[in-house]
Amino acid sequence: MALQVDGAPMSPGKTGLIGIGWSLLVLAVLVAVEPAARSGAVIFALIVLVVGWLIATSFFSSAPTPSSVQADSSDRLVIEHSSDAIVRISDEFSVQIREMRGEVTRAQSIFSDAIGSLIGSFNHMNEQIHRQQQLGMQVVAGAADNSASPDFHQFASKTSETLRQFVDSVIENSRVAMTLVEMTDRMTNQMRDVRGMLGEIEGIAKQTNLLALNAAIEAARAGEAGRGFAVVADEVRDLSGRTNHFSHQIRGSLGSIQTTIEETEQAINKMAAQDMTFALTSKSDVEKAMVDIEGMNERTGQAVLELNQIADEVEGAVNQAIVSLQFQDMVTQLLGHVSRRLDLLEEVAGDESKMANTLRDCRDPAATLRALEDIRQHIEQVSEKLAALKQGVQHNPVAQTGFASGDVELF
Amino acid sequence: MAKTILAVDDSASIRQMVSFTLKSAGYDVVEAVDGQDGLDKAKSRSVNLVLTDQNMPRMDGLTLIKNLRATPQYASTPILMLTTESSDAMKAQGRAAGATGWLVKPFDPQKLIEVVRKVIG
Repeated sequence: MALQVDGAPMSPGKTGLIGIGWSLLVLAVLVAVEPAARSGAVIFALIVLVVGWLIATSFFSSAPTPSSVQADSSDRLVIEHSSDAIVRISDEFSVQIREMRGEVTRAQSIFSDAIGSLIGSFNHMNEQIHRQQQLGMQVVAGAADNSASPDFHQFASKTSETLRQFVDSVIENSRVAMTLVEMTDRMTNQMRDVRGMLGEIEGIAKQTNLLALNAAIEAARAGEAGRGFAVVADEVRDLSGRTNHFSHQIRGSLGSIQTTIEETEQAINKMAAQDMTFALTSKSDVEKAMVDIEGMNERTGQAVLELNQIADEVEGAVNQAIVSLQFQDMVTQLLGHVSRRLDLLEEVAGDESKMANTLRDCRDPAATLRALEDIRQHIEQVSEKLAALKQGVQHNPVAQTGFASGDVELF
Repeated sequence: MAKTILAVDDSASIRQMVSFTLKSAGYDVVEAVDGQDGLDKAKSRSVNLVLTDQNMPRMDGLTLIKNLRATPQYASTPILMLTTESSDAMKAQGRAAGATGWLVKPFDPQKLIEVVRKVIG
């Protein structure tokens, strides 16, 4: 060892003390840095610390030993350079830690904002789904409520029955009309018979008239003796004429009756000939429409039930989303924990910087010894501080690794 | 009359989710941002149930429970913990402080409603 301070060569024990001090510090930092905080920047800073020390040591070891004054100034320079290097590294270390802390805070804020708005959206979605479900229930309840709207099935079957009765009575009317036509045909035939009989009566009247005429001729030939007979013959002729007259009157009446019957027959025929197809088609159309509407009614009910099932499923999915979104709280707590670890690291870096400054500023052997003693005490203090700080961050509030919902325990 | 629940959590998103879940189940919800705020709000009104987180600034959940239990008004009001803490040691501390139950986050909205119904109806 060739390190000299103010003409006296620095003993190997002193250099070793510095070495042990640095090693302890580096070890303490390594112990303090838990896996979660071993980022690239931290590891890099630690490696640079160790390499810095190694360079400084080798520099001291290989330094030439000419005159004491020369050695003193050159060794001082080495110490100052090494100390400066350590201060720079420590400062850089602190800067990195501050930036990491800033980034952690930003991540927390971004998470918080994004999750807040996501939760808002999910809540809104859930509310809309509930509203949809209520509307669906209202539709189903309205269809099932007999007092509010009559049962559709009942209405359909009633309408169908009324139509069936209507068509049946139309068919019955048609059948009766056919019978009426037959009856009027029979009446026409009977009228023809009556007219035939009237012909007989007229023939009789004609013959009676002829007989009366003959009787009158015979009475005139008989002279006075036949006068009475002639009166009778005239009366008979008169009766014959009246008979003929009545017969003609009856024939006229029969003609009128015949005309009326023919008109009736035409009217009945017209009625009987009415097209039944229209009524029958209408009936089948209405029945089909009823079946269709009933089917539609049923489908509406099924659709509403399905909508309700979908609403239940969406609600389940939203609940699941709410469970998952709570990762923000867990992540925020974890990031807070990382921040506390970074506080610890920053403190260690500050202590390192202070140590390096002390080492650099010492001017005489006694001061160096005091400084080294201070450094030793400081290292001990740092170790204690590290232990205390470690205790502070040892308890991690978040033990969860997944997003299954947590346990529930009632005491 | 709807029952009132005091939801204490420093995470705005958790408060939002707890509020939404409990309001949709028909409860009134009062929110507090930490233990101290929760204690103040509990004292300024009457609540039927307290649902609190553990790790919060100013005052943590266990301290809130101890303070509430020391208040005659809340000597027997149900208090549920809703926290990421799941260790038996923490649960034992909660039980000793007077907690009625311990729910580990993340919570399932349906389960939360079930537990609340079981505790206050």
